Amino acid sequence: MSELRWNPLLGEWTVTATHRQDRTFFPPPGYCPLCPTLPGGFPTEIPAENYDIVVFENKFPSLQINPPAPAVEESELYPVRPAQGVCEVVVYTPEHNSNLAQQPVAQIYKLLQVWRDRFNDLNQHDFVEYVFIFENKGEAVGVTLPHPHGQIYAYPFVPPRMAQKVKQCREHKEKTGENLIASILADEKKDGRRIVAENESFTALVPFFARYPYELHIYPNAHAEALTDFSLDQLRDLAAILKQVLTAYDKLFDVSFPYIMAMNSRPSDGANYDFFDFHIEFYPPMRTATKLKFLAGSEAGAGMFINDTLPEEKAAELRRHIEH
Amino acid sequence: MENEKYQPENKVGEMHKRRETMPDGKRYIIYYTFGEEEKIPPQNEVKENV
Repeated sequence: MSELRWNPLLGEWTVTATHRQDRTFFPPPGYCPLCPTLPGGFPTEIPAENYDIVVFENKFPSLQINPPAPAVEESELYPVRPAQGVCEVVVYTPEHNSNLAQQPVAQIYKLLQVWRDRFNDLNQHDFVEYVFIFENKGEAVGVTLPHPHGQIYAYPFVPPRMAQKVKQCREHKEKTGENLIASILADEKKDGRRIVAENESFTALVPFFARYPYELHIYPNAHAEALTDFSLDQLRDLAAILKQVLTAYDKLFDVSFPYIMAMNSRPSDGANYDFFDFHIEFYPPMRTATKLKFLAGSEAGAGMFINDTLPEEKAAELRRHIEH
Repeated sequence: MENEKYQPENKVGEMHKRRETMPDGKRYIIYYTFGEEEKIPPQNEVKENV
């Protein structure tokens, strides 16, 4: 059963997707569904002996192109909609024991082209209003398949956090005439303490308002609303800075550093978003080498994050692990 | 001296993609390759150069 149920208290949709309870959970060695299918071997999701980068529809999707009819009736208080959308899996490499940080810049550059192509394709569905490219990495953020991969959700509405950002960016533009990301970037470059890495096209920083100790954002140095707005040269620069910051993450505590990576793009509803700039955000759950940050009372119950660290100090820590 | 490991990549060739139906007959799968085409024998293909 699968449907969108309206939450009148928060004014947002929740997806029910009961079939996801049966999704693959830490398969034994040799049974990874994201590995190539070897001759005579276990048939994985990918019926090929080798591949470079592969994208396929999720076997356990929250949103479907042709969703079933809702299993519950709606009411005036509780509107219900079919859970229409697209859920894709992006497999970064055939190497099972690896991660994105360990990929060469060339592979990250290829992946950026794939992400760009997926954004362009999914953006064209008339039922899609937001394309969200993301990666959950590590057991600490709930990953059940360790093979390097990310996901893409194409939503039939602009999700709440993205809608809030769009609103903030629009209001800032109306008030100042500047794009908000450009204003933040100018302020951060002037201050300098929270900059972690930079190249001709992109800047990586721990934001002034970081919610997680090692939260990191990557902003474009020039206006772009989505991956589709970047030239190949800019994608090369994005691959290079991603390699730098992901390597720094892994070197920080000498572990494969867990994180949630969220690509923030303009919505796909056809409206004007020239006040919005594409950016990438990382939310790592580790606050020390041995301790995790949990979303507890204030974060989960009240929506207010408490960061136990100073962004200026965490940026300096990450900067020490940046290689050039 | 800068570490080559972190320098922008200039040797990746043109991207190609091949879309097929997965063995369950319902879902799609897209194989992306770069530069050289078709390392993987096609089954039910729709080719695109992008």
